[in-house]
Amino acid sequence: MLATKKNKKAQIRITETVAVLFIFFILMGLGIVFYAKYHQIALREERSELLQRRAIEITLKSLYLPELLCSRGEAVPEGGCIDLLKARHFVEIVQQQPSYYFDLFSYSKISLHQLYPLSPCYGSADLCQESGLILYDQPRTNEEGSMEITSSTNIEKTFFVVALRDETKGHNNPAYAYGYLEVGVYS
Amino acid sequence: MNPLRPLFLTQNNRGNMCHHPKKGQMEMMGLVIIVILITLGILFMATFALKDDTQKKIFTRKGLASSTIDAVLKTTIGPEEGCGQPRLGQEILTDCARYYESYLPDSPEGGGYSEYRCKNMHSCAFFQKILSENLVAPTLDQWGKTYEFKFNLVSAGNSQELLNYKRKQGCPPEKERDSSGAFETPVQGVGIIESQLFICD
Repeated sequence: MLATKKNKKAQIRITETVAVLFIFFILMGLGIVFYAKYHQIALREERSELLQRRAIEITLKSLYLPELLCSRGEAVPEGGCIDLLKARHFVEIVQQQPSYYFDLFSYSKISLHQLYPLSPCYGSADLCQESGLILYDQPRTNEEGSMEITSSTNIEKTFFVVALRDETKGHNNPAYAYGYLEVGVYS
Repeated sequence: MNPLRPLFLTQNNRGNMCHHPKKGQMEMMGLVIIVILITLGILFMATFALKDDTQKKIFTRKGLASSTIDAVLKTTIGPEEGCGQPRLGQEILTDCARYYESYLPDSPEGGGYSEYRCKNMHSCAFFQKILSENLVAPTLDQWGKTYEFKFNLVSAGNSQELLNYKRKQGCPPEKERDSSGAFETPVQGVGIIESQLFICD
């Protein structure tokens, strides 16, 4: 009688221990899954932050690039302004010296868009189209030289409103159009 | 033998003196572990929730505010508007300040007299139309920014609101916002126009 009672008590204790262990491992498993997920997200965020930092650097470089910036003789250059005469010529310069600009802009795409006025379109006609005037484009390429398109290829875009100056369009003063600079950085 | 039991069993075998206090301690330990786990979970969630704005967001907001207002003020009106090629932030805005008395905001053409009649509108109404439809809609609106443009006329120490154009609730001071700083345009015999843009998201 006493032995059966003790046996039952032991069985209850074993079941209790098993239940405690089961819950403990479930909690531990959940913790591991949660931490792994957190770590994965943290890594992704760090990667995206690095990409964003590169985007900032390239945007600043392109906004203050003497080859594009509005200047007048020895006067202080105008910030947030792009000279369209220079911009049109810049496309040719990049083709002549690709390695120099690659050191500056790395794998990125820089384009210029005019939004107002749309007619006349200052500079060239593609400035007012959706794709804009592409000043620089260097996508990542694979070994065969074709553009690498993978699921991890990501473009971090930064937009900046700029004034577009055209010396040839105004009456007494140069005409300014309203547009934006789009800087896309390939990851 | 259950690896978690020997301590208890030994205590029990010694005379069952400490069985209940030990069980109590064990339960306390379990509670402590649960509390620690919950605290860690809350801490993880807090790090996600309280994450500061990224560097890019701040940079974009600050730079965008000043470059946008600068570009708006510099923009030359297109010839299709039928009023020559005045600049939006110079001739049109100063004309708006000069003839603000005759401006009727509720009227589609802006009411009374102004020197510039682009699209046959009062210069204040025309300024607001170009700003909202041609300049801001394809940029700040498209990029999902919340903003507030303020154009005030300051004369003899008094500040009078000329135009105020905002998206959603705008950017009141209690919101985290970045300002372009005041861009000043003098208007002969009238005062100074202070133009400012706030971006808060």
